[in-house]
Amino acid sequence: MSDQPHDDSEDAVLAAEYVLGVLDDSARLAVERRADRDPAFAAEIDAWGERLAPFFEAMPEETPPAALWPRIAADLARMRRFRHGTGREGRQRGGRRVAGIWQWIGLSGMGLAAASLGALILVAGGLGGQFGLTPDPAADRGTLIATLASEQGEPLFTISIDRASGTATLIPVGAPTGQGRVPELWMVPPGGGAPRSLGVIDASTAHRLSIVEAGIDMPETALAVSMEPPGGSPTGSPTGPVVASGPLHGI
Amino acid sequence: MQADQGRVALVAIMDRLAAGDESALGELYERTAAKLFGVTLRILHDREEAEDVLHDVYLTVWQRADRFDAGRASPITWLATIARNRSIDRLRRIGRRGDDQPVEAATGVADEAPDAFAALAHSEDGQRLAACLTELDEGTRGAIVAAFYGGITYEELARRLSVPLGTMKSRIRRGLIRLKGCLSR
Repeated sequence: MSDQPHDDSEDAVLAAEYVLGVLDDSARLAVERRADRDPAFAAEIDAWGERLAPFFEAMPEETPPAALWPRIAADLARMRRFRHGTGREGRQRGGRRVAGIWQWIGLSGMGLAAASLGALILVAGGLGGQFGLTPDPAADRGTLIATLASEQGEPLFTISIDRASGTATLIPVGAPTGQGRVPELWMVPPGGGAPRSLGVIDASTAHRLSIVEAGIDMPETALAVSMEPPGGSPTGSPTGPVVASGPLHGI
Repeated sequence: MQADQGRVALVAIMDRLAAGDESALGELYERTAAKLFGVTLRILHDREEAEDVLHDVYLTVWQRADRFDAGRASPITWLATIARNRSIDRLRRIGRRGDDQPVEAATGVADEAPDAFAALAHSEDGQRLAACLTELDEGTRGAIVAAFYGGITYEELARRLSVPLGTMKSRIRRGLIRLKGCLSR
């Protein structure tokens, strides 16, 4: 095609399109994943970010409401207690630009598809002990917390649920692969009841979701993420591979 | 994007964050919240949504501070980029929920350009960007500005400007390549 660029690589244009914001969601996600693994590509994105940065300057500042920082600080405190509770010290390891858990973890090649929810239900009750975290219903019933890790133990999501508001804060720390599938969050009741959907989640960004599911604070409840068709499982039960799971417990 | 002194201070804060120093997040918030709230508000046009996204932005920054590389990006641009990306994600999610949102949220393509241009004139880099954008034809320029502020996809731009998708794509790609050439002169 005569109007196609010949003096710029496709990659450079793709990076520009990403920064500009014209790509659709799946293309955006693909670019973000690629950038996590490919430093040259990530640098191209950064360069475009700087080229278009004056647009940010043109956006007038606006003071956020005073109540916002305390809310953020409270979430941060929850995350900290959780991190200490699990002995997870990933971010200290290696300092800047660590390889470890913050980098894209190449799950696609690791044969994750094997896990089934049936197996998960069997192990869910035992996970608390394994991590040295016996659920303690008497302690702070207001907040529930979980780290969902892959079979290989790589954490993929941290979730903190505020019982009072029924709001879950979900923070992806890795990204599951799914060939066009989307991650869906499930509550797995203790003792092997049928998993109940808590909704499709976004693996690319920290976000919050409403949890209306009763029974979420039962001891030994687990959470799991399976990869489902876009829009979520068509059957109401998990149909795809489980990519992450973990026990839910009070702080 | 800002005075060197501010930049150096922000880089130092980002370093502490990357090392896991939580107190640094409060300092970062103090220095940058008004700017980043300006970004989320500008894109979302809704205070509640903008606050909500800003909340997520700082948690994301806390989690990902170790990815910031001062050699590749200025800290405020890096932060503003996260704020913008999260806002675009949110905008699209809201858009999918309601039928009236997509058109409203993205506003008219033509509306975005004039005030954005006026505001660019405040800094040297901004003037350069504005000058380079001026070298593009009006339609391409308007589409690029609207896309930046609204996170508008090719499909949506094509639909609203009533041009074929392929035309829209090649027009913007050509525009971006010209822009890069102009800015590197």
